[in-house]
Amino acid sequence: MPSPPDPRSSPSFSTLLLREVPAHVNAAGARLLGPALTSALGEVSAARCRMYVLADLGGPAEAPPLAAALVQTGRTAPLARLRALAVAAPYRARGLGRRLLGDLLTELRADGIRRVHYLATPGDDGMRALLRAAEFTPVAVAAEETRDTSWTYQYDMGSFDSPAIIWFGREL
Amino acid sequence: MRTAVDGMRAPVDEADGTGAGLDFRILGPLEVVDSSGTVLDIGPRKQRAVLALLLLNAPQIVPLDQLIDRLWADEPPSSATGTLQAYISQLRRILEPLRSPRSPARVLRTREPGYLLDISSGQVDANRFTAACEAAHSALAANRPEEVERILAPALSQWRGEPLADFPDDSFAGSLATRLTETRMSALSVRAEAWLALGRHAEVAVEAERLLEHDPYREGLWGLLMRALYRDRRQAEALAVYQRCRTLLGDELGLDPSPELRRLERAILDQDASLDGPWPHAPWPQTPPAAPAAPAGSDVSAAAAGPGVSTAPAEPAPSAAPAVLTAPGLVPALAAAPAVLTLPGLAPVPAAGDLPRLVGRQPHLRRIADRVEEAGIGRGGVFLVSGESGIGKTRLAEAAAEMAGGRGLTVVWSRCIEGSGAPAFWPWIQVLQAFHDDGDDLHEVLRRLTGDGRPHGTAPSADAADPDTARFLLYDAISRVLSRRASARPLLVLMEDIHWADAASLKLLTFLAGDLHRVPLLVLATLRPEPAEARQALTDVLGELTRQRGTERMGVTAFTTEQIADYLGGTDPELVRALHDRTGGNPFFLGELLRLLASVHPLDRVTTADVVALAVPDGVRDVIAQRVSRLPEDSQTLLRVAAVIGREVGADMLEAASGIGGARLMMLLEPAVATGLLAEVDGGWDYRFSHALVQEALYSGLSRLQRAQLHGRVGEAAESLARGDLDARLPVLAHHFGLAARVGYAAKATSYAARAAAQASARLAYDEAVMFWEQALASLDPSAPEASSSRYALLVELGRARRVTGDVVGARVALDEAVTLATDLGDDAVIEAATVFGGITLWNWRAYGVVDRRMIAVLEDQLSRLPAGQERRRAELLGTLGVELYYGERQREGQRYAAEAVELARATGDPQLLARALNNFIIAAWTPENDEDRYRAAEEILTLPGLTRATEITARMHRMPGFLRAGMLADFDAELARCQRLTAEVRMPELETQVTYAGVGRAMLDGDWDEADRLTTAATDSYRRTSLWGPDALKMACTFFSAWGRGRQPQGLLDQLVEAGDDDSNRLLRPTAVLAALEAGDEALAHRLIDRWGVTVERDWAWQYMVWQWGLVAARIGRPDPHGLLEQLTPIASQLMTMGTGCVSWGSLHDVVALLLRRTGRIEEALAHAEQAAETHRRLGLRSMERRSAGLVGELRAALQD
Repeated sequence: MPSPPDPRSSPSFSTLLLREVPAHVNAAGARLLGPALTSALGEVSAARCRMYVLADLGGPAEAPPLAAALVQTGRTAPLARLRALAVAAPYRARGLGRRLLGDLLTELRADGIRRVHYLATPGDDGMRALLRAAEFTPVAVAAEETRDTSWTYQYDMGSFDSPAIIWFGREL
Repeated sequence: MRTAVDGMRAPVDEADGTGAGLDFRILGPLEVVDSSGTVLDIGPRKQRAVLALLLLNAPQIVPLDQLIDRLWADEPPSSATGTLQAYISQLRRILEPLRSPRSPARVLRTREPGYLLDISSGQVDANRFTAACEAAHSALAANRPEEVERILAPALSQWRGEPLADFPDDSFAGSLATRLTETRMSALSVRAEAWLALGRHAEVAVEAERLLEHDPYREGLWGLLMRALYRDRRQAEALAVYQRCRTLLGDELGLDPSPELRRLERAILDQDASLDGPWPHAPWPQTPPAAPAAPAGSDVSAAAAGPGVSTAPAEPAPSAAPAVLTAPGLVPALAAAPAVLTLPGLAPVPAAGDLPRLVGRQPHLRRIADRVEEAGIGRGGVFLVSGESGIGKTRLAEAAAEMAGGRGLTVVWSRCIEGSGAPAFWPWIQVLQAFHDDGDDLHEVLRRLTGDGRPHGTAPSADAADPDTARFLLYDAISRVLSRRASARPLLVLMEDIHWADAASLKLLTFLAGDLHRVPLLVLATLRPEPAEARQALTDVLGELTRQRGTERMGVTAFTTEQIADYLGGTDPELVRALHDRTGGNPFFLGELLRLLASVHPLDRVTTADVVALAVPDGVRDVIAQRVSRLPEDSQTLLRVAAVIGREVGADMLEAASGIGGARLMMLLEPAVATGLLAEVDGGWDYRFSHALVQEALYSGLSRLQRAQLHGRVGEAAESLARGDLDARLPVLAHHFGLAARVGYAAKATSYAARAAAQASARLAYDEAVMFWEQALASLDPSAPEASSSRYALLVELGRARRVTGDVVGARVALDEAVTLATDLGDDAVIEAATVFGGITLWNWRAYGVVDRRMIAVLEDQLSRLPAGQERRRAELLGTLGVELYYGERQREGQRYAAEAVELARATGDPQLLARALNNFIIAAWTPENDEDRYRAAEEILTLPGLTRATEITARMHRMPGFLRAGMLADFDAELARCQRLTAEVRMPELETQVTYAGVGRAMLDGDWDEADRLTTAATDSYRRTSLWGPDALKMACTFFSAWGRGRQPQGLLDQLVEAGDDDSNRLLRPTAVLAALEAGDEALAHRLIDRWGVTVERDWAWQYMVWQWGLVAARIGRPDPHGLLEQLTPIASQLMTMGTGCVSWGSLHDVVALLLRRTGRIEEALAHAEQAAETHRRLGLRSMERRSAGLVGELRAALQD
């Protein structure tokens, strides 16, 4: 068996595909998401947690995914919350986060989702940049938009200059 | 299309879940209502915009590129396409909530080049409204005013606000809204007119005043108001209204009221009686001028003229046009196609007569010739030639230029350029620049077109008050310049690629086209039909053009296989088919492919294999790569996986291999379908690449590692889908795992290939079996346990399979290696490998005269060490050894071994083994004195139970020469017919060849030389697929004797025979060459050849044939010794001559004996033999042979008389 391809040696990822996998702590790619998955599964039913991975079909079948994301959908409203998105260490800084996010938004849009939120926490700079590039904007979430969800969040009223915790949102 | 006028709901009679119950409303914000009356939630703004665009064009297709261009002009096409697709999917779910994800959409459909709403006209409120307005107007005109209110009330009540009020800023909505509002005004006027007719004068006056608040310049309304007041006996007010109107028009527009209104004023002053009836001019003629052709029931797109048009009328001046035309996303991916039909060496030869010779384009050329002819006598027009890129449009234009030049027309070329680099009017500027200024305003016109200085320093608007008029004047000036030139000398303008033309140029073309039918000017324009590149402006212009007198359009289509054959000047049909498969008949691709092939091989040597083995040419691949790159990235990935699956792509397979669900798979593939890269197969669930090159280009874009991994995934998918029934999928599994062998699938690859090979053998597909055995060997992992013995086993199987296909040399290579490997694996293995050759064969597996000493040594070694009791083995080894010894000095010893093998085999009671040993004996003992024994051996084989068809054919073929020699022609013919039937079932070239050769000899006996030649060619072709000795030698022999029978020899055959005869393995051709020399009248050469080669005749399978030939030679020149030959031939004089399995057969040997006797002066004896020959031939019905013998009889009788 030859070793898996070194991503830096392949000119482009021409065989990447977004796949939805069952949200489960043993799923391929679960490790990438870290504690976000466990906490999401603790908060809401597994039926409302969607896990997406970016797999390379041109790589070995047993290789772990290159990136993963976790989305929580609204109970009835066409809303979704992006809970986590991570790219495996060897593949970072190659645009895979953007790719995964783009695929994800298309997927959610096709599913009728109208708005996606993400709660950015301190030290989340990479994620913030990614979201801004994808036209997410910082929003104060109106009550009616979360009525149908069980989300709880903290909005740091004290630090307006550079809020440490902030919701990002995007219309689809 | 149906239109509901009464009852302003969409018809629900077809509420069957197909979307027929849906009602689309644009008279207000966009709204969709389902059959239960529920207003559907159609999602966010962009999604609504997609729906609106589709709705305004329904049921026409809106190209994907146009949607993207309108809604996501700033985004890269790849992500925009993904977003669009997500909206399309979502819209489908909304419009057809009950549709299962796997059944095809029926409302919002995908069809190349984009999407369409498949709805009826009556499902759109605006259409119903327009239709109602028409109906109301008709009712009024028919003097049924009481109906008007009933018709219009529900129609007007559909208005919920400004049409498409939720798209205030979108250009596509604006002009539609204007037009619909205009229609509504007219409807209200009609209604008021109807009220007036019904005597509701006061209401009309109020209504007219109300309407005038909205549109004070409508004189019809002023007139209506005047009449209403008059009839309401308010004459003074009526006259005051006239004054108000006059003041308004005079103050604001500087105009007087129309004569119409003035007459009305006069009538009021005169209290004219006609004012009591309907006034001659109802207000309806103010129907929006943009929708003149919108009759009741026409679809809304005709009235709305589509989104693209709405931007066009606003164009103020031609110079603004390029901005409209350079929308991103419309740039065609393919560079201009070169003229392909002029490939060196393949250039079409101009035929005699008027028309240039272009393959498959005769109808076009005839029509163009007619049009050129007509243009020459003053009846011009526009001739559109459309066809995909590379189809040969330019070549047709060149042919038209050639024809026009020949008929004295002036020919002017112009070309449109892709992208925004060219100025407006560029094609026309090129045309005008081709002319000399002859004192008219050519320079003036050119300056105005190029903006190169103002005409005589005047302002541009000096000629006209408004841009429209200015444009008209410019067009008119150009028209006059061209007409003047054309009336001096008829003119052909060739305009290429007008799909890239700017809108202004296209409009000018439309403008000119109106008059061309009476001007000696023909415009021949080429364009691509790919609507992905067609902008609305082009679509509209084409629509307009086709309504003009003198305009016609002709499509150019791809070559058929016949046309490709014609193009190549006739060639191997298989090659033609391969080229057609590869190129889809596109002359450009064909040309590219041939160019590439020609750079590797001389073109006349190109074979099917070359075509199939060729990598995709760069140009084509790049074109396709560009198209693919416009799709969403996930769609691209799926297409790559699909390309690994093959040209035909089962959705199940793709789903399993990529690990995504069916609904998402469909969504991701939709853009590929919409852009024509993929086509949906029948049911809409499976797919196929629209062109083989698309699949190959995608495939070749993958790295070797990616391919291997993907083949592995596809293999696994095929395995899981087979669900235990692997047999049907063995070749597929072998294929995919074989290509994935290097990335961990070696074991599966070898195992499936071996199973597929065995299956192929069982199904008599021997060539496939060879391929699979080879593949199994290639996939074998050398580091796997037992690799060496696996390899050995596969080699033996490969040797066996190659043997069956007639690849004797290939079989020997495999078996030699197997024998070598076997020395480590033990005697059993050696024996197995060594005796594979000894199986049932028709022919000796060695080349003529060849002895393989290594194999003989191995066989003898094994025999000497074989323990007692292994009789089976011994029989196999002895039989094989017997055959191996045939061509050497130990031939007789070999015959004994083979006979011993037969006895041993018979003792075992195993019919298969006995058949094999008997067959070995037939070959090992193939000498003239054993004919009887061999015949009986063949008979015995045929009595054995459980024969394979191959064994049966072989035995019959062995028996047949015996029938022929004995003159049992009826038996021979029956056997031949049976063998022909059997070989059709058993696809073995080795047998096929020999059966066909037997037919050659039979045709010779009948004197049917044409048939003999035809069969010789067929047999030789099939023989070449084997690696056995002799196709060239046999072909020369057959050709010579067939020509001999005809009485004339083909050029060059003598030289070929002499050259071939120098090769020792072609000894059989030596007397043939000498005969050929004699036929050519070169007796000296005949002697030299005999001196060089000698006249030895081996006692082998060809003995009778050889002595016959030498006998013929000796009878002519006395060498070799006629007496010696008589000694050999006289005892067998009653036989018919036949060679081998019958490929040269020549009737009774009495003939040659007679000739030899005459040569030796024994005329009387000669006559007796000649008479017997004639009698034999007569009895057998061999007319041609009989005439020949009778001739000899006559000569001999005459000689006796002397």
